[in-house]
Amino acid sequence: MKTQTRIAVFLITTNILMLLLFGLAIYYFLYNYSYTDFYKRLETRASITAEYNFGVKNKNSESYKQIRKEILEKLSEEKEYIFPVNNEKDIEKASQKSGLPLGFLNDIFKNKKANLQIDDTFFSGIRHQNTDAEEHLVIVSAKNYYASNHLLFLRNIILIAVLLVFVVVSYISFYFSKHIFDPIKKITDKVKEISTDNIHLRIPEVGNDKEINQLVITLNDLLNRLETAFETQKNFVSNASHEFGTPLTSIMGEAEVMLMKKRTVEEYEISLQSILSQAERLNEITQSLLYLSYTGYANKKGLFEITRVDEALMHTKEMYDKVNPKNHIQLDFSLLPENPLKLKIIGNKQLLYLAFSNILSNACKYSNNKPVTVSLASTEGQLVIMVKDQGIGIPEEDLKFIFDPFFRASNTAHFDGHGIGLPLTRNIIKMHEGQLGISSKEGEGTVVKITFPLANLPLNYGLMKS
Amino acid sequence: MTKTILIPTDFTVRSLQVLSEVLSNAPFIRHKIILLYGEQPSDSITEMLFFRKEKVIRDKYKPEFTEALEMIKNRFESRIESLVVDMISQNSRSALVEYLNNQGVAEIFVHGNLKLKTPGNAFDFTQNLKYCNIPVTSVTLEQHSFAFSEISGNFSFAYN
Repeated sequence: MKTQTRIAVFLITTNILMLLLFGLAIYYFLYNYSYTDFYKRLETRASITAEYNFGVKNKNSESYKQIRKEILEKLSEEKEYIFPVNNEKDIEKASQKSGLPLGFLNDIFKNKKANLQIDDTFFSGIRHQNTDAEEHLVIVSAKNYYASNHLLFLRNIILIAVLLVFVVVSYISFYFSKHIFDPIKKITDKVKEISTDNIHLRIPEVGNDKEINQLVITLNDLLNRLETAFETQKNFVSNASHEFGTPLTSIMGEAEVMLMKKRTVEEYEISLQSILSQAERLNEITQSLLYLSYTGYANKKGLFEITRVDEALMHTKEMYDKVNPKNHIQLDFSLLPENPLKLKIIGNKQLLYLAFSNILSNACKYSNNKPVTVSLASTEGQLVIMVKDQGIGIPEEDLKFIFDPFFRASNTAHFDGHGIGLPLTRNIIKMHEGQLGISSKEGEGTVVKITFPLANLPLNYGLMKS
Repeated sequence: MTKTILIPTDFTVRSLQVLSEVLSNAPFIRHKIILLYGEQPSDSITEMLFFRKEKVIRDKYKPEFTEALEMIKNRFESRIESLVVDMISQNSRSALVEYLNNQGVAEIFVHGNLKLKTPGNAFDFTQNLKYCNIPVTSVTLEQHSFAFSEISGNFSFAYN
């Protein structure tokens, strides 16, 4: 069943059910009330009848009769019965004479009053004792016009009302359920229009419908990410072919030039040297790519152990000092926590060295070996590393692409590199459930903030080990 | 040896630099630190009714402030006996004197050349401190810990 129909049916059923319950309750309670009320009325009439028949004083009985006639409404088929009774025999006699059931008369005699209904006719009787101590049964009977006619009328009204409401509610429900999905249909139509060719299109937000707008925002967000992914893929292909192409072209050019004519051994050697260095560069790129894809899969976790980050940083600096002795990396431990437990994370040392050396070498490379500060601190649950350089910075428009493989910022033309380091670092940090943030101002420098969750170790961890 | 010190704060990382500086220059002393903030409660009767000091302070915390505070706590763990962030809600000399005496403050450290930020109902009570008969030391900051100033920077994260 369509959701639309389902909503309509649900609305109709609940509404009609409630209305029916309401109508039935009204009818039922009024029905009950009308009967009790009618017996009460009959009983009153019986006592008045008794009063004026065996009244206190004969003088008053006439006026009683008068008042009753004038004030009390005549009931339909109203009848009065008066039987003098002194013993059981009299009751039997009265029963035979009037045709009233013996049980009813006995009830009145025993309980001083009783009610009875035969078909449409209602009976109410009382036992009355006059001034001379003579017992009488006074019975008044009448048809309940109110119950038979008014209640019927009420029932018809309720039935007609339910029918009418059913029609109106059905119409409204179907209309409502049809149109409540209008905005969603519009969104669906709009999304269908968007393909890979026009992925820049977005869904317009609608009026002030909060839920629908939430959906639109979510979809637009998704489209944004898709667009970025497409962009990244395009960039990747063009950048990768460029990165692989450059050394290949120079290898091919070199070889072609050499093969044009006979050369001396020295010339061949120089040429082969150049070819070798280009091939090495190619190999380097392939290696980094392999690393990138290796770290891209979280399931290949490798060896993760408790690692002290300050040691890892110092080790990285030592290694990097050998590669680039001119660097000015300063390790700032002014905020180093006193408790060594707050320096330990669960990590893979080799991968961490790789990530740190990437960040450090970038900082030194893009600042031409100006001072680079590395600070280490820890908060309640996190370890924070800040690397600050005074380099060329990253243009703002490039900032969102810097984690894409092979992407290189627009101001890096004079620097050697192939755009794999940062995505690799990001993957490594992601494997460690950390975060990598970059804040940069072009021309002023870059700050890299890396956070790792601290290893959750017991307080006496160091003691236990020793 | 334990010493109670007070440092005015406006919930910026900058104001915490004073604390970091003070602690780094005072080894072998355990400090009871009070970071004091001044804000007048609102005039609105409903806000007065539901005024809670703890909530006002908690609402003032920014992520970078929390981060920097935790860093300091970790860095100087052995020099900190206790650290509380408190507030006074009356900008008067007598209230301040009363507060300082009640807390048993031994020394007050203020930022040498910076004034507290006072947005909204907040007030700067530092000018009243010199009338309190408690030594007030003005701390000049060295550029020793750059990390602080960078914490509040605008980072674009690789993923969230």
